[in-house]
Amino acid sequence: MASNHPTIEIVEVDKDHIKFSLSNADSSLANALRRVIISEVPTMAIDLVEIHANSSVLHDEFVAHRLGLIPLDSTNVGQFNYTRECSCNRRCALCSVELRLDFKCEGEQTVNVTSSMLYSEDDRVVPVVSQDMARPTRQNGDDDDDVVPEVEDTGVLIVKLQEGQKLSLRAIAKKGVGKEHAKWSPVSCVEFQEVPEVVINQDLMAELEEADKEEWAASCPSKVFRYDPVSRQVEVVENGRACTFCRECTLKGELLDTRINPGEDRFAKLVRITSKPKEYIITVESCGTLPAADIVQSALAVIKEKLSNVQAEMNGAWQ
Amino acid sequence: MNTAHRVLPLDKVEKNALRAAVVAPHIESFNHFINTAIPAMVKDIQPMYVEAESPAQQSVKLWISSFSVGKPVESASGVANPTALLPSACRERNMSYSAPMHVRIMRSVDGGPPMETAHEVGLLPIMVQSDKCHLKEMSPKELVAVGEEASEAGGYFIVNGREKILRMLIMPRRHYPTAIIRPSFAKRGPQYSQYAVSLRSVRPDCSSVTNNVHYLNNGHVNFRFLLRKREYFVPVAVLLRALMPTTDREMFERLAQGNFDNTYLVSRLEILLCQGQKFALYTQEQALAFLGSRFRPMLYHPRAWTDAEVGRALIRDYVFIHLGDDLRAKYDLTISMVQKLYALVQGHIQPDSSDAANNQEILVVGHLFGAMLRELLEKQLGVIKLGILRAYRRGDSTTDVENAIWFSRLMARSTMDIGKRFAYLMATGNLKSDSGLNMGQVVGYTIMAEKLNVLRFLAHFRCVHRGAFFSEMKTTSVRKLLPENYGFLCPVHTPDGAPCGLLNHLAAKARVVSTEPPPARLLPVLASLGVRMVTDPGVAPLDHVPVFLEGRIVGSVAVEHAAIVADQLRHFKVHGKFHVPATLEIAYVASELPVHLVRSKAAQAPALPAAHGSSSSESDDDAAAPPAGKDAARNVTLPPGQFPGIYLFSGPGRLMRPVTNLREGKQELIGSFEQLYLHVACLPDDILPGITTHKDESPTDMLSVVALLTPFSDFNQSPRNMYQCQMGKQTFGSPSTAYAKRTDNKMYRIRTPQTPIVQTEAHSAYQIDEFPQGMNAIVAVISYTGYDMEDAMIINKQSYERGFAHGSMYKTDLIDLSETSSDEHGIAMFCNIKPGTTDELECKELDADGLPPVGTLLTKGSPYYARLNPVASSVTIVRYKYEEPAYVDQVRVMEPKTAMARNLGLVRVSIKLRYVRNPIIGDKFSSRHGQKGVLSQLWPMENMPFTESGITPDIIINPHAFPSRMTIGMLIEIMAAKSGALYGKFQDATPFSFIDNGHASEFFGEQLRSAGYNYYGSEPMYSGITGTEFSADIFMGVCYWQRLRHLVSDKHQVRATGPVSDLTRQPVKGRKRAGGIRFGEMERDSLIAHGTSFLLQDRLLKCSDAHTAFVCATCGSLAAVSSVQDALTGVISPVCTRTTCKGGVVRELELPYVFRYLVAELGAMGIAMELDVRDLE
Repeated sequence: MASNHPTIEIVEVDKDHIKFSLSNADSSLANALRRVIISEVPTMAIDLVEIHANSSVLHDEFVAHRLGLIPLDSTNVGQFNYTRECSCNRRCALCSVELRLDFKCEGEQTVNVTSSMLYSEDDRVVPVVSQDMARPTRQNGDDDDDVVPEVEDTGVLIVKLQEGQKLSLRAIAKKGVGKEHAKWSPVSCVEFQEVPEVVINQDLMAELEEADKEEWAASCPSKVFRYDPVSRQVEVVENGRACTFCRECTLKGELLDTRINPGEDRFAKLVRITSKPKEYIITVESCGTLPAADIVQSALAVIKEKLSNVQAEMNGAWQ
Repeated sequence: MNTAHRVLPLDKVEKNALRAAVVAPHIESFNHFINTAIPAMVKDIQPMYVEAESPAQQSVKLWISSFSVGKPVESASGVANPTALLPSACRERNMSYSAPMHVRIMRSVDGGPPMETAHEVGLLPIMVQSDKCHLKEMSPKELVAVGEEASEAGGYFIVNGREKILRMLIMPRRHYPTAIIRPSFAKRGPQYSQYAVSLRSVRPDCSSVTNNVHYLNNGHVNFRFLLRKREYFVPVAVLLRALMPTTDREMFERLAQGNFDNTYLVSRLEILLCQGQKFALYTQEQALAFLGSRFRPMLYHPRAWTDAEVGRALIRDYVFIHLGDDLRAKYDLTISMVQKLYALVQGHIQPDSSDAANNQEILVVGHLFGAMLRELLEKQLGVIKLGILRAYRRGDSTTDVENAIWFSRLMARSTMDIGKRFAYLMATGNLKSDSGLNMGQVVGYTIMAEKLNVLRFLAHFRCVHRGAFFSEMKTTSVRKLLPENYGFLCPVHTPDGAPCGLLNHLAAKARVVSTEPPPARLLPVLASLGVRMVTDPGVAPLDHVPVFLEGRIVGSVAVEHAAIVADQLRHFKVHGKFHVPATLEIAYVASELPVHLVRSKAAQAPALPAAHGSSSSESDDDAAAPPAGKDAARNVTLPPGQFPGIYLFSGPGRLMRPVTNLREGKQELIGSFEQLYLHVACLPDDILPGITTHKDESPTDMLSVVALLTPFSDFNQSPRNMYQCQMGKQTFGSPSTAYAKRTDNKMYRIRTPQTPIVQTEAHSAYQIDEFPQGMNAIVAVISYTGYDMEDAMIINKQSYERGFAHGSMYKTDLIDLSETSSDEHGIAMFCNIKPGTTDELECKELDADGLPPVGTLLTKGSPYYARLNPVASSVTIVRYKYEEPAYVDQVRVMEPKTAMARNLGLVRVSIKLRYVRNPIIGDKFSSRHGQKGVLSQLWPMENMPFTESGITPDIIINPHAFPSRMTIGMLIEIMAAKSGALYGKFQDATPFSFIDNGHASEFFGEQLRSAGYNYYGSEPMYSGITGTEFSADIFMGVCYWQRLRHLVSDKHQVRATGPVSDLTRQPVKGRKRAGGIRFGEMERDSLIAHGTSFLLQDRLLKCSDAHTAFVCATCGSLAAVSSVQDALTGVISPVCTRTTCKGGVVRELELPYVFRYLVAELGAMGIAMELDVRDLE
């Protein structure tokens, strides 16, 4: 399919993670997608905290900062307005969600206050609780003995409370983007790879001794090459997908040169590694607020909206 | 590897031995003072006599029978079972941690039976974790329960709530005759030469005296001592005569020690003995009486004493005081010092360097306290004596010293507050003393133990100052790094700038010993080893070298046996046999040539210019100068060394360090003196068979605790390690684990610190993880936006937003209303209830007690506290006046100072405020390799360069930081931490550990390669802005980053308009006063050079003190023009009021106000300044 349109081919996908190849696309487009995913996909996050009581060891700003970074389920973020665009005066149910936390440690044992103790007024926006991340049971002597060992709570730890300590607060979650603050970023990073093309000069390779071939193949830290003792050939594994352009193989070739035929640089050219033009492999890993696929969709929608805004402006300016 | 020792065993008393060793010099010394020095002092202090001058008066003998120190208690006197006062309470309440001292004074009237009275003489500051501290023996859990850190090691005092340390000082080594050539000695008087031998003599109670033996160019030798800060000289022959019943012949034989071929020496000795003859003193009693008669007016001894008794007391108190009443030992020591002096003058020995550790010891807290307490106790006796004498002089008929009531009334007046003197010393660092205590300085004894971070706190206990005198010195020789200091003082850990080389730090393993074993036990051991004891009859033969034991000549030993004796003694020392203590220092100083050779060769020297026998002191002028050292040295083939002998030291204050004794295969403590005479190998390769006797335990033995924490410091250029030692101590870290109990003036707290991935052995050994002070940051070395020029660094905005390097600062504000309100109107108290109501609040933001609720954000002008004025019965709201917003962190109600205020209620509170100190542009950061930089920009993550796996760096630094600074250790740290992060393990970065195991870069390169990364740590990266790959691979990894305490928020200074000085109307200076920044001469020069005259005028006049002045055009006066209201029109206009002036036009000028001030000042001196303004339009 020799289309000029950018094409996407999804390699892997699950809830928190998507890997796709983007071909027929300039670096500008690919990078725009990456940048928008990081900084402009809207999510929900706690923005205002009103502390009623805090006798924990962490001070108020610290607790507030930690609350801000707790991932909230943002699948329904589209149903909310940005507060600055909302018609309300300060805030309303259309642009914000109120969460509450009220906990006092009564027992003698230290209690972990986690995000799962945050009560949300709105079912649409709740703290993310991971289902598949069951915590391993603690080994003996692994940690402080005075901490309750077995509470199956997969929420994000906010603070530990000792007997008599209390934490009571009201938190307002708002819609925002990562550009404003990292807590609204749906990802921690976006993998962005050019696709390597690894071509071995087999004629040149044939000049090498078997031991040297094997040594050369082993030089790649990402194990792109495999020496096959049966065929006595060095082959590229999976089209060299794993290659990170680290040039260790070229360096190894140079070393072989200095050993075998000093002064020449023949074996430095044993392999030619180029990046495939206009093709990128992008992996997005969600931090839990949105499904990975939705993040990409949302990012594309943001780009589209930006462009249509530009188009509307252009149209307006034309007339 | 380093993951062990993370958690403290909470309920065991076992504490980290190394952390205890850090403060051990202080604690051991304080305990030594309490347990050893005080009893010795009480025994040694001489009785004071009050003489009856008339039959009506009584003669009294006063002395001290005991002195005791208790434990710190609340309100010291009167209560039967006072409650214990704990250190944390002292810190919170701004009190001193001190314990009552009790002295028992005995008096015997007219030779009657002794009577005893007990008195409290004030509160002695108590060192935390010393024997007198409540915290000693507490387990970590108990320590936490009383508000301390689990690892509280003590070593400091608490004075008015502040932690203070008595800084260690370098002193001349005690009990070692030091040969000195000092030009200033020649200024002592006519004929004085630059040669002297000096000995610092210290009593068991640590009071000390320095005695010198001076050589005079006419061949005389004078003994010098200090009495009440004044120098006195005694011909040494007179002193020798006074010390022993002896003959001239015996003296001559002792001094010459069989070396009769040395004509120079023999002729000098003749002169010396002739000098003694002049005084016609032939017996010991005559000599003592002679001394006694001369010094009696200075000494206040009873008139009933004979001159000889006074002379004896003089020698006891001022000559070689460490030997007490043992005149024979003093005689032997004097002989030996004179011998050494002659050897020095003849050039047979080198002078001893007073800058090298072998001739030094450390003054620790106990030494100063001991000397001070002795002086004060003696003074106390003197004060009582004076009280009795005064009563006698008044002729008071009721005077009866025997009467308990009369005496207690006297004591009520005469009891000194000794504690106050100690408190003054600790609070100010100034030493007030009548005698000077034989110390070189009066100021700078104490330092604040700042708890800025753990390194700074620890370093305070390890720092050793050379002495205040040397910091003024122009020459740099005292600051030099000497090989003698190896293993004792750290070569890396010294600040740059003014105190460089003067303020040193002890090596981590170096100890300052405080033990004082009884030297007497060693005598039989020495005798059995073949030492010819000094008590043996006859004179030691020529080939014998003396054996010194802690300033006492115990005998001599033949040269050929000396080495064997020393070796045997060392064997006993290592194995602890025959009571030879492990802290004994054994140095055999061999003569470079056998002694008799040195002496006879020198004797053969042709035509030594010497004053021959008959020439006496009368022929001063033509008495030849002594041969210069060089001339004598030419006759001896080898360069001369130290004075030969076996030197044994066992006293306190010496520097010692553990090494491995190869012969015995065991650990041995060696001292700084003996180290010079031992062959100590650093590495196994350095061992020379048959020669090397000792080996360092590790090549890092030379480093201090702080220097040991620098990873891979052996790869760095050396000054960078020095910088890191400084910066490590400036890090904004976690200084304490007991934040809730601390009320320091300023305290920083980093919010999310981490333990370094790359750490040295010392890091876990000293449990630095308990107080972490940095973050493992992803660092890319790339020149990216231009915001990383000149050591600036870029921080990823999203890393910052996720909490990177966030922190807070705490300040404590003490509000005492009894100080602000005057007593006549009564004292105000905190209250927020409207007068006349029961529960109506005056201010809604404050609580009913008038204090701000915890958690309140205070901004300038918001209510801070409310107080009830006693007279007006109104409530005043006091507002928060500082510019910077703060949160109320804690509010403490304190006990009021005065009894009157105590009945009132809330009068004194301490409010702990918390300031946000998150990184902002301009804040200072550094790695652990002396690579500091400022934050120049928070750069959005999407714009940061990224790797294929999408990683963006937390920090970007510029590659130019490396070539000139050569901090290769930092590059290796980055590689090591990167692979450590990949494998999830800590990396060992102990310096010198790659000596035998190949190259560090290869080691970590292989690790990186096997983890699928580039061997050298470089990675291909993409521009975050364009998404295209950089043509160069970028070196990227993980590096431990420290945040330094130099923060913009604490330093920024801006002003448009603001307060001006009353006198000059120019802006005031100072950040606190919202002042301006000086636009100085050089800045002015710069504007002139640019030709920007308008700007110049704007800065120097318009924005400063411009004002409109009126000048009389007729007389030119500025001062005489004043505003006068016209009687008719009522118009106010400037008129010249000078009587001699006819009046006329007054011109308006714009002048700097300070000019008017100048005119006024000149006018005050009678100088009139006239301004010629006639031509002005």
